[in-house]
Amino acid sequence: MDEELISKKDLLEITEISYGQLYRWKRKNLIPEDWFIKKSSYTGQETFFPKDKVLERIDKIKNMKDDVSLDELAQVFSPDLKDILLKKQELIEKNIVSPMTIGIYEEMYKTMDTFSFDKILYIYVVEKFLRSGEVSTEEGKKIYKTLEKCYINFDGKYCDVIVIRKFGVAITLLISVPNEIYLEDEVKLVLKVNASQCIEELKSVLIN
Amino acid sequence: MEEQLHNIKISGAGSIEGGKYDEIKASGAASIRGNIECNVLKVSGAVSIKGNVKAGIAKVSGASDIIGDVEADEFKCSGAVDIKGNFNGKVLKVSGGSSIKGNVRGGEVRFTGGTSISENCEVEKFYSMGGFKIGGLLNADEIEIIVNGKCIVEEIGGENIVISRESHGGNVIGKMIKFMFNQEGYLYSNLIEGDNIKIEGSKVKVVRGNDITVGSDCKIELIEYREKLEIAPGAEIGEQRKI
Repeated sequence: MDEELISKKDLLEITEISYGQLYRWKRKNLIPEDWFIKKSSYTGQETFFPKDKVLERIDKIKNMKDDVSLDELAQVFSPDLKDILLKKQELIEKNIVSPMTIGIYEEMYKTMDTFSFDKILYIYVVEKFLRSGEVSTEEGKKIYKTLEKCYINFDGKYCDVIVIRKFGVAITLLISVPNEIYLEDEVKLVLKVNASQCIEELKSVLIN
Repeated sequence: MEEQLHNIKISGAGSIEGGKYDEIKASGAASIRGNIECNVLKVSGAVSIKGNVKAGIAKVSGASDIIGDVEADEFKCSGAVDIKGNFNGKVLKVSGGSSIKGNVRGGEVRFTGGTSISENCEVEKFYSMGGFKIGGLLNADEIEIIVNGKCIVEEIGGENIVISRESHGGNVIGKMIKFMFNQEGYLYSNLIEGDNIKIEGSKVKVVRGNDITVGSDCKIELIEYREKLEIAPGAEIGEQRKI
């Protein structure tokens, strides 16, 4: 299934931004280079964008650009993991993750006081699965361990975290984006969580 | 622990290994093997640097070449300098027939004559006088191009774009330059998009913008404007429409 595309012309009209702004935001990496899709049309080459993604992104930029510099904004959207360190208390106070999910982490490893960004991300993803009500705490631990072991392979690229279940056995998968998944009859897709969206959500909370 | 950085000078046909230095001076047919990091880099002659360069201020001239990426606060190069990699820096000033076989990213770029960038040039301010070539996209907030020779740019995008035949400052200099340089040059591009566009001496496929002013010495296949369009008599325009 192809993602719906929007032409540059229509995009500028709908969002009411200027050419200068679009090019500046591209330059500052606020709009990823690979969202600029060139296709041939009767006027020659025309540029298109993934419609939902770019409209959402431009909306966010418009809302945030007056409060934050463009360079700071670029850090919110870039999928690179940064050297952020947060104390357990802060994570709970800022409502980033619940004490219960941190507790699950601590059951597997020792009690931690400070968490690095990647650990925060993994716990945040596990919490999404737990909150869905479709995953048990034991399965949550397996999701965490899979992330810890395999997420590094994606190193800044987009990926989805997927849990599928057949007859009570849950399996965690990390799969690159874009993807299309088809499952065998008795297998249920429990939940799909997009890692880079989690990163964006975390960063906009952490940067405040 | 603070590192004690040293100065190093090399000339003739000598060679040094890369490393971290305070000031590096290389000349003649010297070669530097490995990545270098320094506060000041002064290179002249036919020096070859086989590695990445990270410098505060760099002055490179002659027929030197850098096989690697360059990162600098201020980078001035003149003559036939060749950078076989990307450039990233605050200020880039190039004159003579230098070339960058990668992308240029940064703050301010000033070209005077004969520079070529193989890929994209994405900077805050771009100024050029004389011919140049950019293989990809020229993307900058402020673009000022004085066409005095063949200028080839695949695509141009930005906020304020001024492409003219004459220098706007100093009539005496303007006249001297007109006399010295070939006035037959044009700027060739497939697409120019911006908020405010003033264009002269150009042959472009498509121009799109809010406020567009076209001079008589222009040939444009299609103009799409949002607010204002002014075309001087004599300009060759294929199709124009308000969008």
